[in-house]
Amino acid sequence: MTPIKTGLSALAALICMAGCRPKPIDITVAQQSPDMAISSMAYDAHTVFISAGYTISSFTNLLDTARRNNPAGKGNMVDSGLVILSAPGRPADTLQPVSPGLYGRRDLELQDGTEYTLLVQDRKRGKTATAATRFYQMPVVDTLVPVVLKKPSDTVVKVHITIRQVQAGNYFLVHYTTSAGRRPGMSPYSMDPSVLQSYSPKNVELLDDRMAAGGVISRDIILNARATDTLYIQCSRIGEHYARYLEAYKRMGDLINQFTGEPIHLPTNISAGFGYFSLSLPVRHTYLLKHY
Amino acid sequence: MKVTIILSLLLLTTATTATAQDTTAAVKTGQIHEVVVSGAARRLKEQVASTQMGRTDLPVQLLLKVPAIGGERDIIKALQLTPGIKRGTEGGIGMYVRGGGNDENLILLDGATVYNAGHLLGFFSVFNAASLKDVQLYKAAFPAQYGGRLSSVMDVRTKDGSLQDYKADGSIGLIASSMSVQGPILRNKLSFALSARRTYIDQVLHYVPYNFYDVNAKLTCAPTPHDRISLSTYKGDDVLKMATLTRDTGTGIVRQFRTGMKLGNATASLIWKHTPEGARYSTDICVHYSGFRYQIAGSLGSNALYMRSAIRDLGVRGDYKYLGHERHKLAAGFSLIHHYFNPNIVQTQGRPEQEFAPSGGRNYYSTEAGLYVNDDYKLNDRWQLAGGLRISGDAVAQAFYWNPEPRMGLRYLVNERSSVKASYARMAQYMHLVSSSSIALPTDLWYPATATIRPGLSDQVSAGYYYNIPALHIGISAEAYYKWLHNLVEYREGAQLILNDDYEKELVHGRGRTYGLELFVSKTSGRFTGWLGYSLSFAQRQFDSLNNGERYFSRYDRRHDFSFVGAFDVTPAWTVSTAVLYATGSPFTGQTGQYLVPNPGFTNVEVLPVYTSRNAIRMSASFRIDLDVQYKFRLTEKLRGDVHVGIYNLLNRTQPGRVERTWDEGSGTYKYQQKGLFGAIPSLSVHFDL
Repeated sequence: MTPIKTGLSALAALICMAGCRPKPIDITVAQQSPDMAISSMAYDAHTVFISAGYTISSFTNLLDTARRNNPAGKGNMVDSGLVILSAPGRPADTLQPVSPGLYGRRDLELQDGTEYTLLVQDRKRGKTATAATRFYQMPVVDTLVPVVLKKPSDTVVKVHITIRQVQAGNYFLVHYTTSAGRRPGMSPYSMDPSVLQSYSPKNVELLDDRMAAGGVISRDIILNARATDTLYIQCSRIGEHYARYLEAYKRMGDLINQFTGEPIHLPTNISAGFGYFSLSLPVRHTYLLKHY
Repeated sequence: MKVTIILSLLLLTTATTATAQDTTAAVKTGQIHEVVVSGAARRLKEQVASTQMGRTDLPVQLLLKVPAIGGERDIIKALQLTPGIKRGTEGGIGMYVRGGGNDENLILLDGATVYNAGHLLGFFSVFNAASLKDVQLYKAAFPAQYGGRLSSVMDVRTKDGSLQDYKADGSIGLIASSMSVQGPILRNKLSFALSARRTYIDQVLHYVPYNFYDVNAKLTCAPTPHDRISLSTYKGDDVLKMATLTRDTGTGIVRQFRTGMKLGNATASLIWKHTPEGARYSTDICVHYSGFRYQIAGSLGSNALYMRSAIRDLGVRGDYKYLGHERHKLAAGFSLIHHYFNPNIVQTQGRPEQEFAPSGGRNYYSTEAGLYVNDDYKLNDRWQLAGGLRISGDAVAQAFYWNPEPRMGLRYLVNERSSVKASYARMAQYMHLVSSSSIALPTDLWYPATATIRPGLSDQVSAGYYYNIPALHIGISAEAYYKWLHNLVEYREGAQLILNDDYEKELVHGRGRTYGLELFVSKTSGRFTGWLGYSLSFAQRQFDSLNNGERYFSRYDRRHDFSFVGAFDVTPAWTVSTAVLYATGSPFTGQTGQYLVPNPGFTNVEVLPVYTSRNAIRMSASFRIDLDVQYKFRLTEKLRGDVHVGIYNLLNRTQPGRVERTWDEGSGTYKYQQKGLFGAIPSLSVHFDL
C-alpha cells in the first residue's frame, strides 16, 4: 500500500468508526382481538379433520414452550367447540374432539362435487365461524415418480407427474414433505415451534387446466429435497378460490418478497376468521429417494 | 473526538496557507456575486410575471451548497428538500412529486432521457456536480413541449466548454473524486467540456469489490453568431465483481464462487439552436439517444446464471418559438422516440437450468410521438393566458394509444411584486417501471404500455399566489393542487418479478388522487441564501384487487413536510450551510397477529401472520439537521479551492424507514422498533478550480 492509500484507508476507517447508528425508536402496533383460524383435511371419503384455534398477538414468542400458557398450546385452541359439517338435503354431522383444537369424524359419506358447510362454535368464548367448500375426489394421476439427477457438483430432485382427464377450470395441488424438512418421530402438535416459520419456502406446486394438452398435464416439478430424503407427496384437485389462497401462500415463502415486497394478505373463506376450509381427497405416495 | 481533532488540524493548515490570498478571493467573489444577483433578479421577476407555476427554479450553485451525505453534492437530494417532493428511502434519490410515484418523473440530461438516475442502489445520483449548468423541475403546469411522465419533469443541462479560456476543477471526497476540464479547441468557434467521477474505495480497500464511475463529455460549436451546435454524451456504470473459493460442507468439494453486476446508463444528444438576426424566432433541433442496461452473472463451480435487461431510445425533437409579436409568444414542436425494451434475458448452466429456462427475453418496440402548440397571450397589463395542446401517441404491438394533453395557465398581476395564478395540465405516460421494492434495485425494469397495460394519465389543477421582495432577493409562493391519477400500475401482493418474462400477469390497474398545499420562501442572492419550505399533502391509491378495493395512503404519503436550507457567508472565506428537515412518518402495513395452522398437506404446522390493511399505520416523524462548513482558499494566482467539512444527521437521530420485530428481554415479549439506515456521518471533501 502506498502512503496515500494508507492515509486514505485510515481516514475512511476513522470516519466509519465515528459514524454511529442511533437507537431504534419503539412503535406501538395495536394487536387485534383473537379471531378463529381454521383449516381442514379430508383423509378419505369418510374421514375429515378440522383444526380450530385463535389468532394471538404477534408480540408473543412462539418459541417459549417453557411458559405454562404456551401460546402454541391448549389456551389458544378451540377446545370446547361444536363443529358441524352439513350438506344440502343431508343430516348434519357433528365432529368429535380428537385433541385440543382438532376435531374429526370417520363415518362420513363425502360426495364428489357436493358443497359442504362448516360451523365452528366455541362454547367457552361464544365465538362462531362458518365456511363452505366443495368436496373433490382424487384426481386421475397416472404417474407420480421422483427423478434424482446426480451430477458431480450437485444433485437435483424432481418429481414427474401426469394427470389425466383434466377439464376446463380444474386446479390441482401438489404438496410434498421430506424427512429433512420435518422433525422425525414427533407428531405435529407436540413439536417444538422453533421450526415454525411462515417465511420458509412452501413445498407447494399448483397446476391447472391451462397446462394441459389433450386433457393431460405432464410436468416435472423440482423439489427442495435431498437425495437421501424420504419423500411424502400428495396430489389433489382443488377449487379455484383455494388455488388463489395457495398461490398467495406460496408467494409468502419467496425469499425476495420478504425483503422487498409488501406483506401478503392471505385470502380466506372463513367468515369472521382466518385460514381455509377445503375438502379434497389426495393421491398420496411415499418414496425413499436413495432408491432413485 | 479523534476525527474532530484531525479535521480541525486539516482546516487549520489550510487556513494558514490561504490567509494571504483572501483579498483576491474576495474580489473574485464580488465579480461572481454580480452575475448571481442579475440571475436572481431575473428569477424573481419571472416567478411573479410568467404564467408558469409549479416550477422549482433554483440556481445550481445554491443547490450544491446543501450539505450532502458523505460530502457528495447531489442536486436530486437538494431538490428533495423543496416543497412537493418527498424523499423515499433515507439517503436515496427517489423523488415522489406531489404524491406521484418514483417512475413518474421525466429526467432529461441535455434532452436525453435518463432511465436510472442512481448509483449505488440509488444512494447517489448520476449527475456529477462538476458538470452541471442548470436544472429546472416542473411539478405542475407543464410546458406543452414536455410529455411522457405523470408527475414531474426534471430538465438538467450540462456546462458548455468555454470558447475563450481553459479551465479545470475537481474534487476529492471520501466517496468519490471528480475532475473536469474545459476550453476552446478553436477559439470562439469550438469548445469541449469533459467531466469524470469515480469511487475509489475498491482501490483503497480491496475487499470492497464495488465502484461506480461516470463521464460527461460535451462539444460546443458556434459556427455563426446565430447558431450553436452541441454534442453531449454521458456514460456511467456501477460495477460489482467478486470471486471467492467455497467448500461444500457435505462433500468437501472446493468450488469457485463468482458474482458480478454491471449496470449503467448511456446518453447522447446533438442539439442545434438557431436564432436568426433580430431574434424574432428561434429553432431547436435535438437528436437524442438513451440506453440503460444491467447484467448480473453468478457462477458456483459448473453452475451459472446470467441475466441481462436493456432499454434503448432513439429520438428526435424539434421546437420552434416565435417572439415577433408583442402580445403573443408562440411555440410549437414535435417529438418522436423509438423505444426498444429487452427485459430479462436469462442464460443458465448446471442446476439453474432445471429451475430457470434459458430465455432470450421478450423484445418490445414502441414508438412514442408528440405534437404541440402553445401560446402565451398577454391579454392586458394584468392578465396573461397560456394555452397549449400536446397530442401524444404510442404505437406498440397490437395497440395504439393517443391522448390529447391540454395545458392551460392563467396569471393575474396584482402589482409588480405579486401575482395570482391558476393552471391545468394533463400528462400521459406510456411506460412503467417494474419494481417490487421501495429501494432502487438493479433489477427494476422499464416496461411499455401494451394491449393490456394501458398508459397512465394525470390531471392536475393548481392555484397559487406569488410575491417577491426584490430589495432582499426574496421570493415567496403558496400553491395548492389537486391531482387525479388514472391507469396507475401496481404489483400484485407477492409479485414475482425477478426472472419473470411475463410481468403483465403480475400487474394490476388502479387510480390515485393527491392534493396539498405548498409554501416556499427562497433567497437566492446575498450573503445569506437558502429557502424555507412546507408542504401539507395527501396521496392515496385505490386498486380493485388490492386492500379489498379500498382506498389507502401511498407509501410515501407524509402529511407535513418542513425543510429549511440556509447558507451564510460568514466572511468571504468561510461559509456555513445547514439543512433542517422535519417530516411526518410514512405509512406501512403492520403485523397485528399470528396464528398456528396445519400446512396444506396436514403434515406439519406453521405460523401465519395477520396484517393491518395496506399502509394503515404510520411511522414516527423524522427530524434531521445537516451541517457543512466551507473554507475557500487560494494557493496560487490561478489555483483556488475550498474545503468542506460536514456532518449528516448532526443529532444522530433515527430516521424511521422500516419497522422490525425485536425481542424485548425486559418484558419477555416481542416489540416493534423503527430503524433508519444512517446515524451521524461526518464528511470531508476538497474542491479546487484552476
